Order: sequence, then C-alpha cells, then structure tokens
Amino acid sequence: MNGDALRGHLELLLLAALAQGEQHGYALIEWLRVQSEGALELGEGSVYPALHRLEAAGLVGSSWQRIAGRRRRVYRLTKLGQKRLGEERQGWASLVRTVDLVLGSA
Amino acid sequence: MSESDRYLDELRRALPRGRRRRVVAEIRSHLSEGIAAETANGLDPDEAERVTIERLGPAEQLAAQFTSTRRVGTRTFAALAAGALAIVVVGVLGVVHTQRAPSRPQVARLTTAPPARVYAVGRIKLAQNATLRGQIQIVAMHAYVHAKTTPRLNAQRAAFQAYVRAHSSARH
Repeated sequence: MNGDALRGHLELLLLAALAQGEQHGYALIEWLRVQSEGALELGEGSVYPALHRLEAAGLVGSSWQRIAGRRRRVYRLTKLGQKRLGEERQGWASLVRTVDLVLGSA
Repeated sequence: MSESDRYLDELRRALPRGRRRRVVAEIRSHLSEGIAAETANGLDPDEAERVTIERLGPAEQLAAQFTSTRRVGTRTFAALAAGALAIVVVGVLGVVHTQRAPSRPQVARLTTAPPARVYAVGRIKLAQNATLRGQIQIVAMHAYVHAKTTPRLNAQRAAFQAYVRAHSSARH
C-alpha cells in the first residue's frame, strides 16, 4: 500500500480512537500499535502530522494539559469530527454491504 | 547533548518557522513519555531513548509530513478504503469466477475487460443511490489503476482469462 493510503486510514483510525474519549499523542500511538501495525509503517511520528491535519480540518481540537507533572497535548473529537466519523462509518458499511452482495451473487 | 536534543534540533531546523514551537514541544513530550514507558518496561535509560527515537522515524521525514500540502478531504477516507478493498475484491472475484462456467456474453466481456470492469459488469444495478454508485466507481477506478501498476494482479488476471478462454472453448 502506498503512503497516501496509509495516511488516509491513519486519520480514520485516529477519529475512531478519539471517539472513545480525549487522548494525548503517545496514548494514541500505543493504541495504534495494538490495533494496526500497518498504519504506523511510516514511523510513529506520523500520528502527529495526521492529528494536525485533522485539527486544521476542524475534526479534532487540542490543548495542553499538565498531568502528574507532565505536559501533554490532549486531543478530542469536535462536533464536526463526530459527524464525519459517523459518515465514514456509514460509507464503509454500505461499501462492505455492496461487496458482500457482489461476492454472494457471483 | 543527548540523543533527544539532537533529534529535536534536527526536527526544528527542518520545520517551517511558524510550526516549530508547537511541534517541537509536542515531540519533546512524546520523547519523555516514551522513555519513561520503555524504562518501566525494563530497558536501561539509554536504550529506552534510542528505541523511542527510532520508532518516531527520521526527523527530516517527520518534518516533511508536517509541511505536506495534503488536506483532509470530504471523501478521502472512503476513497482510500475503497482502493485498498478493490485489490481484494478483484482477486476474490477472479477466484469465484473460475469455479463456475461463465455464460458466453460473460466470457466475451471478462476476457476483454480490465479487472475493474469485471467487477462492475452486471453489478452496477446494486448501486441504488448516488453514494453507493460513487463508491463502486471509486472501487473500479482504483482496481484499474492497481491492475495497471501491479504485476501480481496482472498475472492473476492473465491466469484468470486463460482459464476462462480454455473453459469456454471446451464447451463449444
């Protein structure tokens, strides 16, 4: 798979992860390590530019928080991000349904 | 100068001025987080630092991803997901089709069409609304592009077509 495809999936994975609640970058990376090794093929650093792109698109918001003496940038889903995640889930589900129909009838 | 400092310095220099402050602060926070986690996992501090930096990827490559002009588009995810899936679909369809004798018009179409058409032939009716139709087109487009550029898929397609030809001539 090419880099663009990975990045596309990475953004969707990040939206899905943030739907569980706000998180900082390092925790998201740990989650991704378990969920999908492929998404981090370009290096774990990729998560940060992806988060910044999502923020530029208004899908996530972020702020610095100090937790146990450690300063972390914490990300959360915006209303727009929740809406987009819902749309992407529907789009994916209908694509899968279509493919199932095709394979079932082929 | 620690390895972390060297990494952050290289990153800072590769970033555009306006992005440096926040990105470097965020990656610094990542490094201390990672080093603490790996040390807790039993690595010695130097090893923990090395592993954490290595996993981030080269500083220049990371900086370049921040400056990429790519934006999150409205249909990005569906299109990219469809592209990945298309490869699987074309492959699976090839297998499914070889297990059944196709009709003559099917043979004619299948042996001349690119894999994307193989997928789309007779199935477009399934697209009952514009969104679904758009996705089928995206699947078809990606499958076509990948078939053009992926030797493995081309070989699969050739084998499939040879099988269909042999099968259809045996029947007539």
